[in-house]
Amino acid sequence: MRARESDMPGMGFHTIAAAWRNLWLVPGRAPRPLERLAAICLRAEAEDSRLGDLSEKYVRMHERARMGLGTGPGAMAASHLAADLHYLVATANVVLFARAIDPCLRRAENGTSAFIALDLREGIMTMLRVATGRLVLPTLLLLSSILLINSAVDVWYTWRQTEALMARLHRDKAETTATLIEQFFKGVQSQIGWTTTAGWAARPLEQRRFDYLRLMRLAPAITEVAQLAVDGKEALRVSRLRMDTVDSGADFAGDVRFIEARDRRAHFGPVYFRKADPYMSLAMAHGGMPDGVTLAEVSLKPLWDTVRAVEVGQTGYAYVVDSKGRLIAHRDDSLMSRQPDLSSLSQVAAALGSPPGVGPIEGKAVDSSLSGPSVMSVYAVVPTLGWRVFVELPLAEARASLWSALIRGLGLLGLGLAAAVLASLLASRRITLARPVRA
Amino acid sequence: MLTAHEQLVMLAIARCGRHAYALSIQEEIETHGPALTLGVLYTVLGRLERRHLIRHREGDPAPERGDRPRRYYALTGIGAQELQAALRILDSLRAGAYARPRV
Repeated sequence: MRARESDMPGMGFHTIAAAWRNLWLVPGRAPRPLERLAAICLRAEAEDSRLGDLSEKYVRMHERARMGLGTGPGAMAASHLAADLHYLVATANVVLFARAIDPCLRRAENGTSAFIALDLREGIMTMLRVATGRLVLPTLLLLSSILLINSAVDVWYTWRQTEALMARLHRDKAETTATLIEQFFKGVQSQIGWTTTAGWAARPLEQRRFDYLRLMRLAPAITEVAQLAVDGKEALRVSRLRMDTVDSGADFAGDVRFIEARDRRAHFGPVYFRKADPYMSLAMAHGGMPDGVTLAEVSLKPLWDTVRAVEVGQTGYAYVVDSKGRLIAHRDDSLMSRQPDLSSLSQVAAALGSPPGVGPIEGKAVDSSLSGPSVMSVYAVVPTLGWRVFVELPLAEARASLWSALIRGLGLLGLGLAAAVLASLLASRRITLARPVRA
Repeated sequence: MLTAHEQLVMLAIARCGRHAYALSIQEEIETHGPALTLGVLYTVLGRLERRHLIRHREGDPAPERGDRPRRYYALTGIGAQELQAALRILDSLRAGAYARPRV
């Protein structure tokens, strides 16, 4: 074993070359600079056995590091570094006890004061451990629980408010659609209106036929229009689908459309289907003295575009059912071709159960819908017709943002809780590790 | 009255015999349980020596120690008696703690 140059008396640390050579040498004792530092810190004489112990420990540590790392240049440097650090840590430990703790113990070692000091120290350490275990942790858990409950309540209220806001937005869309449908029929009524003025029925046949043709041009939804005389006999029929007829003799005197129009000035018939297209009869009594009725067949297909134009999120949709729950308009043509009766759907049944004219109710989730999954559904009523306009959004989409916000919140809370518990455990462990002071 | 650390150190000194110096005592304790740092060990040795429970003698200088002598420790007569008394208390307490109740 060769001693390092810096360790040799009188040589010292002269050149970088000497340091480089020292790197390859196995140390025979602790480096002198470290020993000087330890001696100063410990206020120890050169012959102090503690410095000898530290030096011997340094040599052993270096040897152990060499056995693990080998004797290459890098390994030797690492061994030097490990031994140096170990020496410094051991020295710091010895200095702490020699300069701080041992003097206190010596002062306390007079008679019973030693026991009092020991008991006091033990008591303090126990108290700290108990405080950490029984006070800090429960307090952290209590605070975390309060935060958790607060967050849960916040999330609940946010959830409710967001759902209410979403329902309000959807209800606005449903009401807008219902208003558009109402306006559509008012427009048709208004167009028909100028063929029901007083004295119109007395005009010449060609004039009346021309008026009907003009009416159908101005109101494309009207596919057929007929003039019924005072006695209910059909006087004129102009149609897009079949030949026009004059005085066909068809008797509408007992027809509900004729009777109701005479009684109530206007009659909106039930929805019926020709092939897959929905139609409705609209009868209006002529003005002045009762002298007849204009009966128009109105195609409801233009309403499909109105319903298709309603945008509800990514996968939401709108649809219209008549007063009996039969589907009138939906974005899905294949569904329309089946003309389904939706009165068995819970939201439709609930909507039909409330009297017509009552305002829209709060949106609510249901277990069934046209497309299967649960939806959040709101509806509006078309007052004149008693139809219902539904706007629906699948719950999965409606609550996706709420779920993500909830998961984010819970994740952050969990992280905070874990960090708090970890910190308190570490604090507890530190206190436990400090127990050697009891000696 | 001996503390737990004092008992540990005195037992290690007894086990090491004539070669009980700081590092060998530390190693002896470490092989049987949790390690004591040098700071704690010197503090305990100092207290035991002040109470005349142990004594020390200087050995020969060694090169790995920077030509400083080792300080070897040994139990004094009082120290051995104190240790035996403490261990007897421990043994009797342990026997009582683990004894099966008689039927």
